[in-house]
Amino acid sequence: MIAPKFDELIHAPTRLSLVSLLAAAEWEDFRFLRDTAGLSDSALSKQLTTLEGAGYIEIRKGFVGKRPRTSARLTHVGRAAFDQHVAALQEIVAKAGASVLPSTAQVQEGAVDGGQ
Amino acid sequence: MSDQVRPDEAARALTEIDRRQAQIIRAASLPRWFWAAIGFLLVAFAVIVDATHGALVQVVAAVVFMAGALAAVGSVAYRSVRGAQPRTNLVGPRVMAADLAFTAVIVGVSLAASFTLTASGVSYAATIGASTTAAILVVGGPMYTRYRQGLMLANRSGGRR
Repeated sequence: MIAPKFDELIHAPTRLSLVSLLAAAEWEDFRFLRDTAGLSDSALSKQLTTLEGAGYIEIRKGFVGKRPRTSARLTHVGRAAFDQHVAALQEIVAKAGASVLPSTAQVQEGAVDGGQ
Repeated sequence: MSDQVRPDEAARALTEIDRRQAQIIRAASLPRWFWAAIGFLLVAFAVIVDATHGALVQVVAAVVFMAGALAAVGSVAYRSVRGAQPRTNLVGPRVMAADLAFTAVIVGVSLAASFTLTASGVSYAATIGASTTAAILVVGGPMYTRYRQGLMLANRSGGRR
């Protein structure tokens, strides 16, 4: 059972998107995160630095051949904070009743359409 | 702060979380062209086996088939390394069981078709058998990919259950 705990740092829209992506992934490439989240290099760097400062993510810099490659992943602390934040959001929605539940079917459709 | 978050805002945030996690799963799934490519290679190889009797030609066809299959798998693997790498815990026992079942269906149908056609003395048995397998791959592959995505979505962290 995860204790709900709202996390303001994660809840900011851009960081919510990034942490959500990282929560489903292992190490994720900087370019993939940038392109998927639709951010500029500098905007993504800023958000990743903020998350790293909070201990939520770990950043790895290396080389593939001669090309520099930056990757990020959630730390245990970050994953726990994310799970608690999701639980807090679910609690807010649950208290309000089912009327505000977004369509899960829409999300699932989004997962299976296109991209093939 | 959580008291200041409206339920509809929380619901939108949950949708965004689901959407982003689905993006990772979708990006790491086998593309539609992969199934068609493997199906095409299978049929092409079978046609050469049926239509020619020269050992050299058949060996070359086997090499080309293997090279093509490796290129397709390599392309998917390269895309995976450069792109999304889903957490291993998204692939739970149900996904592994589904993978095995899908593979068993393909192999089972292929072997059954090949043995039946060969035993019946049908001409172009290999081509017909491979075409059957290719049809399953082209039609069933993308369908299975969608089913697998659904199973992985159910395993993700922080998603609604």
